[in-house]
Amino acid sequence: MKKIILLVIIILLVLSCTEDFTERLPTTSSIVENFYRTPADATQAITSVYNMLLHDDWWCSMIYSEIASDNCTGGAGTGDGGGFTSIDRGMQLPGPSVNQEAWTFYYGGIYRANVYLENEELIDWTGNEALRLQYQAEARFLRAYFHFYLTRMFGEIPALDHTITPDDIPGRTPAEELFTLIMDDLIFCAENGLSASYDAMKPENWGRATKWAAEAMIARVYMYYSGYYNDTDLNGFTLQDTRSYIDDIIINSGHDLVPEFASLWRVPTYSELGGDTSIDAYAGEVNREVIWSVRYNPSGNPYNFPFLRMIGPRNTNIEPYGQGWGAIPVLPSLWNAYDTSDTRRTATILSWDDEGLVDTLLVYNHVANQQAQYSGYNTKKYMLAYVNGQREATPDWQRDGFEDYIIIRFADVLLMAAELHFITGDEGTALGHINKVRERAFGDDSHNYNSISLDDIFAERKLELACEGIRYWDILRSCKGDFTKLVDILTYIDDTDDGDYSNSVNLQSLDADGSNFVAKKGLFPIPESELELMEGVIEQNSGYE
Amino acid sequence: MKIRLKQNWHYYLIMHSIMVLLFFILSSHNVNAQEITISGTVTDKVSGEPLAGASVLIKGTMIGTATNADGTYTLNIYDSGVTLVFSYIGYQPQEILVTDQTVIDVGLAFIAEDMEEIVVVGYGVQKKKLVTGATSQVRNEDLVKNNANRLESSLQGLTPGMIIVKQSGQPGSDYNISIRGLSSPNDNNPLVLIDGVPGNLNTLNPSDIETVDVLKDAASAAIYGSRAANGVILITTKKGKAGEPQITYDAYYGISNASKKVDMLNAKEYAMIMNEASTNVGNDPFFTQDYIDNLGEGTDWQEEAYNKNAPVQSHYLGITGGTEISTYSISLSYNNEEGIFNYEDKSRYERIGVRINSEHKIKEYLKVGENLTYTNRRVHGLGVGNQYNNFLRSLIEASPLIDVYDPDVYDGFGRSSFNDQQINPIASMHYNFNEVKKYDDIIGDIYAELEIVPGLRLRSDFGGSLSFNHISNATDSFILTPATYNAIPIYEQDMERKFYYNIDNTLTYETIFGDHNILAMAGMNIQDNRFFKVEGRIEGYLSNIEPVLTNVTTIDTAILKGDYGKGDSRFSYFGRISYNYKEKYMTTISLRRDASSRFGQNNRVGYFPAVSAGWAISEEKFLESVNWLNYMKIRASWGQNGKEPSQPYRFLATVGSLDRIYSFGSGRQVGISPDILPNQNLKWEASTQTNIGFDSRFLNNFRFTFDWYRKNSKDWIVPSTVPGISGIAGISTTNPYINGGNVINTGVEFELGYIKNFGDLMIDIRANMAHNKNEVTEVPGEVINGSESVLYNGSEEFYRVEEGYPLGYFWGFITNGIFQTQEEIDSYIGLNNRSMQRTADPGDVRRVDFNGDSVINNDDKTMIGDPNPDFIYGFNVALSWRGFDFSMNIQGQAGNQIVRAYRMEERFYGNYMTDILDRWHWIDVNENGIIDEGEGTSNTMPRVTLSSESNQNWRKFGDLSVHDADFLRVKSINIGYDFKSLLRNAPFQRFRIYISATNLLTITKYDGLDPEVGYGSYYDDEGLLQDAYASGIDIGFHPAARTYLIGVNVTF
Repeated sequence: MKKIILLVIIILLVLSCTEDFTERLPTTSSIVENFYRTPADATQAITSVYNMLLHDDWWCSMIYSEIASDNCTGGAGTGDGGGFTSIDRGMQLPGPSVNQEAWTFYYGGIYRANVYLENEELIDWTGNEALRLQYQAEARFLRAYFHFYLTRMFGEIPALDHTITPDDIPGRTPAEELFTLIMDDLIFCAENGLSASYDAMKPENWGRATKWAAEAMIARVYMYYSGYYNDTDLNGFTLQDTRSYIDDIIINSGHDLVPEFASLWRVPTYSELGGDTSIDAYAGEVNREVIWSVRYNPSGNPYNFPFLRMIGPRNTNIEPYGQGWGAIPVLPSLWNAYDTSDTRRTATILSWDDEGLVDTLLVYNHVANQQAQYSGYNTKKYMLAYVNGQREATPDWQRDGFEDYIIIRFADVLLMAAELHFITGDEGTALGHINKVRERAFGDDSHNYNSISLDDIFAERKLELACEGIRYWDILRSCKGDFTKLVDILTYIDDTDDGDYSNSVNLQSLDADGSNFVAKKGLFPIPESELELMEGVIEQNSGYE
Repeated sequence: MKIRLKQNWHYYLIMHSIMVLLFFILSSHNVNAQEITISGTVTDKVSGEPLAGASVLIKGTMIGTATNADGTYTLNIYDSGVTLVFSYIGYQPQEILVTDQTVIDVGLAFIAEDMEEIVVVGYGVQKKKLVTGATSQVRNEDLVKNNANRLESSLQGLTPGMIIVKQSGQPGSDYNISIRGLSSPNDNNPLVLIDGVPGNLNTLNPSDIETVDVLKDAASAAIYGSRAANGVILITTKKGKAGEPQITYDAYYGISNASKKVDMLNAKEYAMIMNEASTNVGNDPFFTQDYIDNLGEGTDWQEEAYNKNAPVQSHYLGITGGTEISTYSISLSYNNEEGIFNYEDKSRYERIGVRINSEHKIKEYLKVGENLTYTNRRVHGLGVGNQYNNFLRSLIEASPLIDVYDPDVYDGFGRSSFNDQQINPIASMHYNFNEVKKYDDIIGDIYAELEIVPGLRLRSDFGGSLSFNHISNATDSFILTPATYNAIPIYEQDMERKFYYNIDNTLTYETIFGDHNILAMAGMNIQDNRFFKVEGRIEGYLSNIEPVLTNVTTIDTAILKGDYGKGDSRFSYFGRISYNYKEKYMTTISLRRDASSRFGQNNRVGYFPAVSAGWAISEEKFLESVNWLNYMKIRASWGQNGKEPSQPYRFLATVGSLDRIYSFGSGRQVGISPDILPNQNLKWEASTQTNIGFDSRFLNNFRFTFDWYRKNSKDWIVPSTVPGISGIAGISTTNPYINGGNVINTGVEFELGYIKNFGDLMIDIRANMAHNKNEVTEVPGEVINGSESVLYNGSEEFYRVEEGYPLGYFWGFITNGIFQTQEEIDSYIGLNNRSMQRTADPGDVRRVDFNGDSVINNDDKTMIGDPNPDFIYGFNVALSWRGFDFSMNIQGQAGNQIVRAYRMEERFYGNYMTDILDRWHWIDVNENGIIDEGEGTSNTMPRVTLSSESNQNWRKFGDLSVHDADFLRVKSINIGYDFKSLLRNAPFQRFRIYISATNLLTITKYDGLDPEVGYGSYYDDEGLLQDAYASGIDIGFHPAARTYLIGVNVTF
């Protein structure tokens, strides 16, 4: 009897367990199907789209823009394999995965924006309709931003206004259609994004894509499209439409120039304004001039802006200049392009010679530090700070690139407005805008223009916006579809007086041949590995076959 | 500065306990009964020859004696009514009840004795004779011969087809185990069941193990279905036996030393080579000749960190015994081992183990019992991981020009005056490697067995494990170089609790009718895993007292992370029917049905069938006349197994917040987005294996086992490579996991044994060998790329998974000597008449245009090595003679390669091995005072440079870095003497003292530290195993120690 009771108990135990036991979903993490419910979820979801801005890595748009342009050269270490110098010379880059980060992360941003836009309708927005429009506007702004950064590097890329599955890869989208999608997204943001003026903007909204950011981006996108593709009519969107958006910023946004050019960045503030110990003069990462920036973060954050760790003196800290990889050195021609009384020169460029740091090679020995393509000049604007024997932020200089990357600042808006007004025949307004920029640069109106040409505006853009990731795209759009112009602009020979550095290790020449860029129409190669994965749906850009 | 800390409190506690127990046991051992003397002769039943050394024991005890050279024995017993057991290797044991005899002569019958042994199979046991799959058993007496603190090490060389390679030679490091080749790019370690509960071999003491049974073929393992694709290791811990309590004390103490150092350049040579590197690229030399002339040997960094005579010790106290009603086996053990490289006592491994097994016959029809093991491990180790966390790497490549200590530097450690990026590795060891890991593991089961009717048994087993891991790590602020420093002290404290349980219910029915024997088993099994963890990290200044999270003067950077959840669960049914006819024809069929939470609804359930058959051909009439063949059984089996994804929720579209923050204003906002693209169709990796083999015994003393297998493993669970345009390849968003790929392992295994007595001399020789061929026949996305930056910063990918090659093969350039002259470079032309290496200089390496397209690029890379051995073998000899015993275990492998990189090749200043002295170099000055050519100086070792040569001799990965890893190792030699032979009447059954040497000799051509290199796969930031298929990478591999020890085995 006892046996039978035991047996029954055990059998009951066995049968009480069913296969539902193996239905086990995560308890501490959500799944897509049940996540999008409340506006708070939307806040987190839209944040993840912004987060993709932080992933620009080695081969990011800014690095390309400065190296490939006539501002800078590749630099970095003598043993670094020459990737950067290849960009500089318009050569095929080594390896199948070159540009992988740019391609993958920008499309990753588009994916997250589309995930947001496709799932936000699941959220209960009752009572929060305005927030819904604002978030839609921001998601679309970011989608436009990522598309725009992709197309500048890679040309006619597939435009995606929805998420796709890996086996449903679309082909290239023709430029006009692609830019129309970008423009539609930006216009939506200009109409629905946060529209408070600078002074009225709530601090917690700093960093969000605003109406003003969208309007400035509209101008940048239109001017790039009309220049690069030599087509002033973007599916009905015209020069005049653009000009009215940019004027709206100048009149209504509350944004303006800050008084001191050097105060926009940390290290120039130290070297030009504040001496070694004070940084009171620093305008701060959030200031009136910044229309929109990518907000990097100090310590505890794995994201940092790689450009910053690239440009510092290789393996050396010299106050206030923090160590970097010695990449992207400035060409002597850029240094020489500035008037000696232009405050932008020393705020933009570290000249080892002029700052008296060369006499004793003990201070910066580029030979011992295996600096390639030492030109005597480093880019200074975004350099890491090293003050009072200390770095800022994290203990790891490789992760110290927390300074915000200013995507568009008011000076750029003024110069774009000057250009748009100049083209549309309003030279007076154009002069006012360009001279406002110059007055700040020189401290007075002694260097103001009385009359200008389009070339003057482009030259001013080069000086004002040097080392900010603008120049190369300006060069491309200035070609108006005739890329043979790149031969002159991008060809330069090394005219440094390298007598002092003759014992340098592998001083690779700074020479570059612009003709390499012509057949490529100034574009960069889509990563070969990605082309393979797309199984021939998209072909490589011309000149890279 | 070299400090050897005192034994810590664990040691005193455990040793005290062991000694007190021993004292009580000894003092309570008394004798008070009337003695009866029994004598007799033991002979071979057929030939009548006396059997010397046969054992005569009182049943259920270890009390007894052995026969002399003439086969005679005398034994005092205290009571009649006992049963004597006469046994002799190779013969059928015989039991005789002592009533009033005083002379007992016994004739033993020769049998293939070991075929009668019982081996453990899944959910049951089986007579070895009836096994139809491919399994191997290792018994306690063979395990302990290797005198290893670790069971994994003890198992090396004993089982054909099982490759056991250490991940590092540092005490406390783990081992990689694979059975019959790698079956997928994912984790290939077999399922380990400790008394039926999944566990980890590193929690076990070899002395506690009764048997280790390895289920190698799919048919044997298929009863474990979804977890069995890598094979199964069944551990049975020691059980009690009815009879007199038996007390065992095993202990040893030894000293370990490095068997080898890498020969590095001394100061003078180093300075000379650095100068040459500089002048080779057209720069001025770094040092003046005068400076070099005054240099001596410089610092020998390996010597500085060398822990000469590192102590190792082990104590084991076990008690077994019981009655017909209850049996028990309990033990207490302690191990303590120091690393052969040590600094400030940072390399130490300690283990305390307690085990309690017992079984009780509650009723005639009901048995209950439990097995329970508690283990406490403390691991404090120097970094032996990747290039950034490997102290040996730092030691090897450090400059001999740096002084270890320098009183003029603020912290007393020398710094480089040559290049300020150079690290003083001893200072690095001082500041780093403070991580201490503590593990507490309880594993065990409680079971009941009910005999419903004779032959029909129900067994219900509740097993589980509970693990606590605790990690603490304090790193003070320091500056080693301008680029290597820690600005703010960091303290980390992590804790993890893992709980697992399973319930097994099996119903077994055994019946015999006539010559037909049927054993049927059906069962169900549920498993459940849960976890809980917290991780704390804080930056700030440590107070003087022992740091814990709250003793840190914090700055606002505290990170607290935690998670808990139900990891996974499984629900299974399984059944097996074994049939045999006269033990001559036998067959087994089994089927398991698994449902696992690691899969979506579409493929949650998997079926794993197996069938096997055996034919004892020697029992057939037609072979009866073949006298030399004692026994022969032919086996064949087929079965299918599965492998699950290594992580739960691979099939779901989870959303996550990791690394998705963004700052608006001054506050950080957490972002959330999909983690992964879902794949509800994800299914098991499926492994199908066919095995054919035979077991034979011949010429009375020989046995030979052979197996051939072919294992086809497909549908690996791998991340798909989807185009980046789909967005999901972005950061923090993982590609969907898919099934794909196929690898075929084909191999043979041999086991040959010879056992014989020559008078008092007993000889037992065993040899085993396995050959395996691993070939990938299909890869999703063509190639699974290995990681970059493995060898040094920015190093190229060099191992990968690709069709037509073994898993993880080494991929690189074939080189063809060194360019001797510029003319050679200029004339190294392709079809377009241009030099294929025009940027090379004389002294640079010549690469082969493997695909013949006149361009040397990555398309010319091919297989230049394979980390998987073609052959592994073991050779074991045991001799005994009148109380003396000798044993030796040799193991080895052949046909595999190692990739070695001891230098950070992207920097020029790392030290070189002395083989660089044979480099290609310009001959300084000829007799006419003219700089001469370098032609002919070397055709194997390229010139030295400042790492900036355009040819990138080392950085473009090629066969220069690949080395043969064949080795033969004398793993252990033991010589012992049992004083019982001398003192027959002493109050103990055994008192053996032995000396032993482990890793005494390694014969290899490999000139790195150790040819047995298990390093390759690694854990990423999230603790997930990456590149699980990679191995054989020596970036400063901690070598195995050579240990001499003296030990004692006492049994009362």
